Amino acid sequence: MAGDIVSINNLRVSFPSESARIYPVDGVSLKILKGETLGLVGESGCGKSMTSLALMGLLPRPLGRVDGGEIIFKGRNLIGIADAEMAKVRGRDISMIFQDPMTSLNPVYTVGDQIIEAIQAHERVPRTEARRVAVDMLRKVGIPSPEKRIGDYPHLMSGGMRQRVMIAMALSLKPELLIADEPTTALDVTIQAQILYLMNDLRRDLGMSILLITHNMGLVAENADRIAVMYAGRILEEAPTKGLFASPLHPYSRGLLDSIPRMTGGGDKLQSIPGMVPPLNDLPKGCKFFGRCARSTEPCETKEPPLFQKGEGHSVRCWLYEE
Amino acid sequence: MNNPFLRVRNLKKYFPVNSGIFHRTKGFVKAVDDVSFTVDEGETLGLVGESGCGKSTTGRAILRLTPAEGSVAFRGEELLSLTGDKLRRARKDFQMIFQDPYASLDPRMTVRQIVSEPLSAILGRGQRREEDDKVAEILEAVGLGAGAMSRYPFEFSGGQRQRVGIARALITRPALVVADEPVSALDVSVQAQVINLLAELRERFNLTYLFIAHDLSVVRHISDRVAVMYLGRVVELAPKNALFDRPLHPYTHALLASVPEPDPFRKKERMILSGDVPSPLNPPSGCSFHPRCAHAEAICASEIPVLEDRGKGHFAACHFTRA
Amino acid sequence: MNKKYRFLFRRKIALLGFLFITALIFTAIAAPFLARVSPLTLDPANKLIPPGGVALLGTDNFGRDVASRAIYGARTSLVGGFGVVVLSTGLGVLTGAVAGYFRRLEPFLMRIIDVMMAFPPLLLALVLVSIFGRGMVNVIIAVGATYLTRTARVVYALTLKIRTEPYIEAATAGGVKPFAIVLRHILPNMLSPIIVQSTFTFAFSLLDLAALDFLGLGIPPAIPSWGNMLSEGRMYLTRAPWLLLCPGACIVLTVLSFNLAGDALRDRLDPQLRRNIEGV
Repeated sequence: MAGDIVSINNLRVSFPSESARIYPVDGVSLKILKGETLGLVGESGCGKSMTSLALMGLLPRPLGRVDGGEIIFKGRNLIGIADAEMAKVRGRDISMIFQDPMTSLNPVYTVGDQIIEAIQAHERVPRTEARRVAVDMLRKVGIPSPEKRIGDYPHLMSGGMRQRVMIAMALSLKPELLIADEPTTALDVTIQAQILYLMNDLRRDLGMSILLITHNMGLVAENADRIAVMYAGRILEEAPTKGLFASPLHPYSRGLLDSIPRMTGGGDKLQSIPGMVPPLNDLPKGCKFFGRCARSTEPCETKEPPLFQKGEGHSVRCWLYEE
Repeated sequence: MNNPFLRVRNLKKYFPVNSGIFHRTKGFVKAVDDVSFTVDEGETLGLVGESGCGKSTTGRAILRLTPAEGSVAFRGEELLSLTGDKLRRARKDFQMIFQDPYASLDPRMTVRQIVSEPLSAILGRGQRREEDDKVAEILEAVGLGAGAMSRYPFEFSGGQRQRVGIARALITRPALVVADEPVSALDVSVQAQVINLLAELRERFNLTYLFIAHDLSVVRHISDRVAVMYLGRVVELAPKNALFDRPLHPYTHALLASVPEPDPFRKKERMILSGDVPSPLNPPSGCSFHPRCAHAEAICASEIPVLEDRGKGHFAACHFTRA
Repeated sequence: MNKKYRFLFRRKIALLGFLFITALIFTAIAAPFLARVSPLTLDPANKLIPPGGVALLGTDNFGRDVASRAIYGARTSLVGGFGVVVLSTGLGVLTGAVAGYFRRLEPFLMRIIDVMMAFPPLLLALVLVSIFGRGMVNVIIAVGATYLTRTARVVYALTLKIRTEPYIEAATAGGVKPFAIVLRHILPNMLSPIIVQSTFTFAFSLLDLAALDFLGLGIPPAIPSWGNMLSEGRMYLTRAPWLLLCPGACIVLTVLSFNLAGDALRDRLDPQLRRNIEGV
């Protein structure tokens, strides 16, 4: 299909547990179009981070493994390709920024060394050239006097600065897809606003796509073009951003939106979702949201619903929408 | 004017910064710098700000968990001068709910031991039967049920653990509860449950909350009045609607504009602050916000603005904005 | 797959360690019933008889039964090691925890520990024994004092870490008295590292006790101990090697067993490590 840069089909990721293997990602299909931001939202343990790690070929080995499905990146299936090949894709074609800017930089090297190393790992360029690119990139992400700061060690920088360095490193090779896994969760709101503004700017300039993984509905509302809602390893609903916020179809999506206190108004009791996310080794048999859902009916308990198409690009995994 | 329920006056907490082999004091981090406010009985005062602004230290200083200077009068009694057994007995009336539901419960204790500890520590060891009844009653009130008593913290989810923490704080039937980021470690759907619980318990036990959080939407939801802190000082304090709808201080303004809103249809004004929060070791002269402020003039760099009433209980510390 | 087998292997070896320790404790308790003759019986007619003859493990230069002496030696060693562990762990935990929690006492307590640590352990023990004289109790005090410093250091570091945990602050907010916080919250949460540390202390102290005996500064030579046996047997290294082999093997196997047990306990008691090993 034209326009998509990645298409994930029926991805399944498994981990061993005490009894049987558990599936943090179970049958996930997603497409990311060129130049768009796809928001992947869900609560902790829903499998959103595992999906991105599988996409990067970075599942914690030897425990985690892809048990099925394919990840087609620019016409090539990334599942099962050699480690060396995957290493080339990583960084050059797909880059990732992680939640914690404190631990994802090596404290014993200067930030400049780390960016230069990343560049030289993928391109045969002289060190001076790589350094020039690094300084450029640091300037672009808004680090003042980058020629000086490039010699700094990570601990000399604030959290916001470090996350900028991570972004500079991720973008120094001009990847086509940037995976941002909770990129601002560890940062303050004013810094979060700066970082997202920057990411959007760079997306436009470089024409890249972003997979924005977060639990924050506000972030995806303001930054994503389309949103996929994940729960217990499955996509429960996928829709254009405005469509999802205007009419969330799945009871879980609706529950999530209702449970956030709003900046406007406020006051009364919040609508909360009863119960809690079921553990992966003890999921309901049918719909995974069964048991917490106020609108569940008879088939929900025993049969897991497929994704039903409801209008333009809007699909939902719920029996309420069976034709 | 008679004694307010809680009156904090000129609260100061300076952390000495030592260096060199003789640990000479080089300077002070002014974590809390001349903070004053009052809280009325039954009221919830929200305390917001970004990391390092001193909001947590303020809460801990009020509860005598860290030494501080100034005055904290609780029902007319000066807390900062209490010592030894007197302080311990006074703790019956003011308790704390902690941020991290994982680290704030001793992993080697049962829920019964955790919840009953303040009871026996403050009021002395009572009849076991009586204690059990009290623990069961408070566990019921926080929605856990007496069956939780013999279990260990690791058997519970984050939301349930936070309920245990709330039960521990309420077992002595305190009048004042300082809640330090009580929901920030929880998932969205669980967060709503805990916020509702806190609101419900406030009515039931006639509690007064000092609610510390960085999440502005949560604070708006639960508070009556809100104080905004920046670099150890309160820069604005007002009834919540006044503060959220008509902020006076430029920092409050920027902070509110930075919060991503879960509403893609609302066009928000973009207001992105430049730079990071300065180090509290060397705060800027005058108004500490002036290097990041768009309206700053010469006077801002030289004079510290006073927190003054701009009408209807709306306090702001800024040389320029007027209500 | 490979990893899994390696772990099984490790677990089996640790099991052997535990079995050996159990057998040793049993031997020490039942020594009078297990030994063929008293370890003190002199039999000049049967001097330096090789193993397998009259005596299972041979006899020494006074004709004493080597097997009997080794069996009673287990008693001496276990009592000695146990004494050292109780002394060093008890005082070490107290010193470390008090210094770590009541920071005002830290400079005083930890400087004493630092000074003690400045001596090589065996040298410190030698000095103490030469001051107080020989004998079981004095030897235990001497060796215990050297291990006390290590335990105190470890406990001090652990206390510094645990005292910043939010549940400690929560206990303070709940009105718990400082000393009760140390007893109820801090000590129980460092129990597993202390237990592990103790097994290693036990193993190493056996070596030191044997070394003191060997140097003639431990317990009196008539009392059977592995160190004394080594010390006396070294004259007959070529003529009667069994005099060295038997106590030597006892020491090596015991120390090895305690180290294996310590390793296994550490894996077992550290939840983080346990997860990694069991692959959950």
